[in-house]
Amino acid sequence: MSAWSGLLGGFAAAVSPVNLLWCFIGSVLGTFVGVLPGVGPTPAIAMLLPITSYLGPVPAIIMLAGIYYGSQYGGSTTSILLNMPGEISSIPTCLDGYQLAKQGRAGPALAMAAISSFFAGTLSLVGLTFFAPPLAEVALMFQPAEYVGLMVFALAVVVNLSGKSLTKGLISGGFGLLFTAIGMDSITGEQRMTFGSLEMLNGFNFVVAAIGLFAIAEILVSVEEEVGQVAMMKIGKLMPTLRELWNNVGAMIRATLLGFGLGMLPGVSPAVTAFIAYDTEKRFSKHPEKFGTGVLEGVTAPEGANNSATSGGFVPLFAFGLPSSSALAMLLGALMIYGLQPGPIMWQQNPLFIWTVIASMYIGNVMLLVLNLPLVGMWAKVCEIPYSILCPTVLIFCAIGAFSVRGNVFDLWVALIFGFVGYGMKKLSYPPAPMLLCMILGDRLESSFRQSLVLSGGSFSVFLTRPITAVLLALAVILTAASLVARRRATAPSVLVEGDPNY
Amino acid sequence: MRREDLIVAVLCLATSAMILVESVPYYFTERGGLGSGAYPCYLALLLAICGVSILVQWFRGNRKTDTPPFFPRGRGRKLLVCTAGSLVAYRVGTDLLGFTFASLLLMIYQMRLLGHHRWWTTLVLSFVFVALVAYTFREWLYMALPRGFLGL
Repeated sequence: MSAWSGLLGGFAAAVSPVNLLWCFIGSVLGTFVGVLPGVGPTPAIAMLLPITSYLGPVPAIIMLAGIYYGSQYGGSTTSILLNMPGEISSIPTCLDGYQLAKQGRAGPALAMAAISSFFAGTLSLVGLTFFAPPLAEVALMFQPAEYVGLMVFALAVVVNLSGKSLTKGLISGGFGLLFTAIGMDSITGEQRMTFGSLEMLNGFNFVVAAIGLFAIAEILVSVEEEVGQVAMMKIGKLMPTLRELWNNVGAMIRATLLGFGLGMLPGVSPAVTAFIAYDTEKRFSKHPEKFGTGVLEGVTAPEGANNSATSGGFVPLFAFGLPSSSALAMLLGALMIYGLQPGPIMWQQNPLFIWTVIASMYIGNVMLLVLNLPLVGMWAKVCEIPYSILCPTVLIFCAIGAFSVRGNVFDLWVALIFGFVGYGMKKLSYPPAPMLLCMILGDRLESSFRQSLVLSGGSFSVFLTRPITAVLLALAVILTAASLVARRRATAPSVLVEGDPNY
Repeated sequence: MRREDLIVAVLCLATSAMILVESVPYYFTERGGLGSGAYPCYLALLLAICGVSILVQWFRGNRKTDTPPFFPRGRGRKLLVCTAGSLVAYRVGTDLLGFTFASLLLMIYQMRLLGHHRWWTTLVLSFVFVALVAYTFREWLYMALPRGFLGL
């Protein structure tokens, strides 16, 4: 099936009333989540994931994907109006966006953020349309050893980019892998580290862990910091001038290419690409000294990059079944709940599913432009919800989300304990993202590792003699070594904010 | 490195030892491949290396003495302890009182603790929200939320 015919078939399925409705709901929820500081797409998807089991797989994934890319649209609103980023990926937007708002130009800043998000989001979807299928063809050649190499590389990238300490990243990832080893061994059926507990037989569910690590932990930190309401800037006249729009086209194109390219790499979240795009745009500018004082390019670049990174992240997810961020890991979890395994097999057996989701993302971007441009004032009002009301409502949804995964009250304890663990991790700067990604990939990593050894008759040389595996493992080692050297010189940027709840 | 990182290092080493002890009954190799005891042993080794790494960094003088306290002081600590306590109580209350009643109590407590809203506002908002949520998930989505002894 060619990409064009696949995409057309996807559009035919995506424009059904049911799918359009859930695309709209996902876009609205995503914008809502993006506007609210402290609630990111990862906990939102984790909380809603069990509930989507009442929908079919197509509308469920359409809605959850809508939450993910919708949240990148919504994060700019509070960055510009309140100097408080709704998402970590909107932190660079605060630098110039809030300055523009103080100059009475909040409207053009908000409009430029929405237009850049739409431009970059849509253009990067074209990249997803044409990159993912050939990569899936390559993935058909992968055997268990190649998947081991790919997952080790992905986890190495995540660990190395997570915060300033490699050891802390390794500890977080190590415990994540350990949690997947608890319960029944998927190959031999033996019970490992269950301590005689029936509840532990099924191990810890990563959705429940995500609710604890990202949602409950964030609430505990916010409560401790006594988060309250803040004063908001007025919006005023909305659109920028035509000249300003034209002057920002270059920034939008650069942000799109940068965001999409980096977003395909595992471990590089929209937050990372936003920072890099801002820095890059500053270097390209004829007046770099003006960045930080209120220039539209300072809003255009990060907002475009974080949206194009979301589409870029779908490339490894659909081609290899490998999530490049926590939110995409939740989407992978949703697919697994429906018994679907993204990767080359899905392209062969169920291509219409993938094309429908991709087509819905094109439609979703249009919906988000409409939601965020003329209705931005409405979203600004959301910021006025008192935290004292928001906090218990989020906690109740966390409880529902955790319970509904397996209908087991034991998972409420698990979510709570992970919440306390996540709080401790935030306070001590241990990144939670490696733990979650390792919990999601750990089972597959172990089974691929053991299958590789069975196929090679117990010889570890299989990881060195197969070229793709050897290259990936070598890249993981080189990356780790380079990261260690850079940390010693204290020149490595902490590109992922430690304890980033929204990665 | 903070003093609390030493606790993490000890935790890593203790966990590593526990994993090794737990993995002893399982096969390390099996039919040309790895048995179920091998993977946990590799993880134990990884955690042990990380724990030792932290200890080495600590004893080589890589310490931070000017770090803020782990737990906040003042009102922040009170809010944290009360919120954490209310979450534990909520979990226990879900079993005893049921999801609806426990959620109602949690929302009332949190609104009064964090926002000092008036009793009338607190009760009305809490009741309406919890009733809506319970009805939506129980009646529309047929989710069997815990009912507890009160059957709520």
